[in-house]
Amino acid sequence: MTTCKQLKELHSDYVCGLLDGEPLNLMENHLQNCPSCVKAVESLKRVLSLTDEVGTISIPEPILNNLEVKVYKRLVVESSEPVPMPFFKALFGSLCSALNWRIAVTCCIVAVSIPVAGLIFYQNRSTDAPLSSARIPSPQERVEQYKRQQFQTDLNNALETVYLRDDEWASAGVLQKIKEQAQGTIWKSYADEQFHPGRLASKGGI
Amino acid sequence: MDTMVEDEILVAHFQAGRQDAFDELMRRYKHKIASYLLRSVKNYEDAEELTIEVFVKVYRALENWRPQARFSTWLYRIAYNLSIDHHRSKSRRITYSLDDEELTLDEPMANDLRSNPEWQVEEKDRHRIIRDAVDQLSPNQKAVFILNRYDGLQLNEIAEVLGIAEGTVKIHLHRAMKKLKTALEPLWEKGEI
Repeated sequence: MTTCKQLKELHSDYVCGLLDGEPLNLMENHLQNCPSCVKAVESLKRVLSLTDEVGTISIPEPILNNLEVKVYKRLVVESSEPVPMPFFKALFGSLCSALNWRIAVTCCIVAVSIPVAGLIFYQNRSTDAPLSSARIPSPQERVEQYKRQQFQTDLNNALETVYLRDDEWASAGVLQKIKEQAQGTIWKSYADEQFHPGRLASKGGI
Repeated sequence: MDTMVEDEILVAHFQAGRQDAFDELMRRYKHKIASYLLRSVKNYEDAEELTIEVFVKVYRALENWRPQARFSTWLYRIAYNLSIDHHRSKSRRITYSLDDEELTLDEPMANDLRSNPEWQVEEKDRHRIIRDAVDQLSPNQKAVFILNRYDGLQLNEIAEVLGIAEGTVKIHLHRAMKKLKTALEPLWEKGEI
């Protein structure tokens, strides 16, 4: 017969759904005949139901909207910042304090030239080798790609509206507005191409 | 992109040059990571900033990432580490911390109750008490409890995120439950929550 003392340690596991197999059977059988353990388990369940109440947090839309663009923008900004060289500064500083400055400068030149020579050698070799995988666009290119995707999505939504609402006057207004927004930007030619009257008419829109 | 595609396959697509795979990963996890970080830092601005930081780090490291653990676990690990750094740097400077009342809770409740100001105040007090009890847990107990109960991570995944043994995770969860019971039981017996 399993005792309360033996199973007490498993109460948390039980209410958190972490028990299975034999321990779960033991616990369930025990709970059928032990009011004090039932009370303890119910108490833990109550704890979880209370804490679960405060667990769901809704994130305001402004935080989640355009998060992708914010990430790509950050990547662009950070990739254009100069890379600090704390290691070499520290190395130079410590060498200067320990050695004559001429020796320190020589050591630093040697320390820098070895990896640079290695890098040049590696690049020369790698240019001869065929590319094994597709080139990953830079974050700047990615921001542009993302904007283009967003523009395409807005455009598609607008075109769907044309078909669904069957309201030529309002739809033409929406499309014209999008086209105007593209004026003066790199999207102008793209918008002109998309809003070509023949193209829209052929799709059954305006 | 198909939502049934596994994260690890999306990562492979990204590594092969498909940038939209990364967009899909961000779409899948931005809400979860932002919620996790908001619970941790209790400040909308910091949560947003850290969420961006998480995905920037992921983007940089993803090219060389190998699926030794689940992608989601790795993501939470980055978020956890950033939140720890944030708390460390925060302890060195004075900041404005978000009042509980500013946190928007997504709770199912009847419309008539929502519109009752007295009831709303009572609910806010009640939730503040419960949140305080969770905040009283030790950092490890709190991390384990939140990842398990609110983010739905399994014990082995939490062990990966926190970089501790699975047995230790279990111990933290036990102690968290015990501490919460000790803190909350007298209050519900007195009818305060």
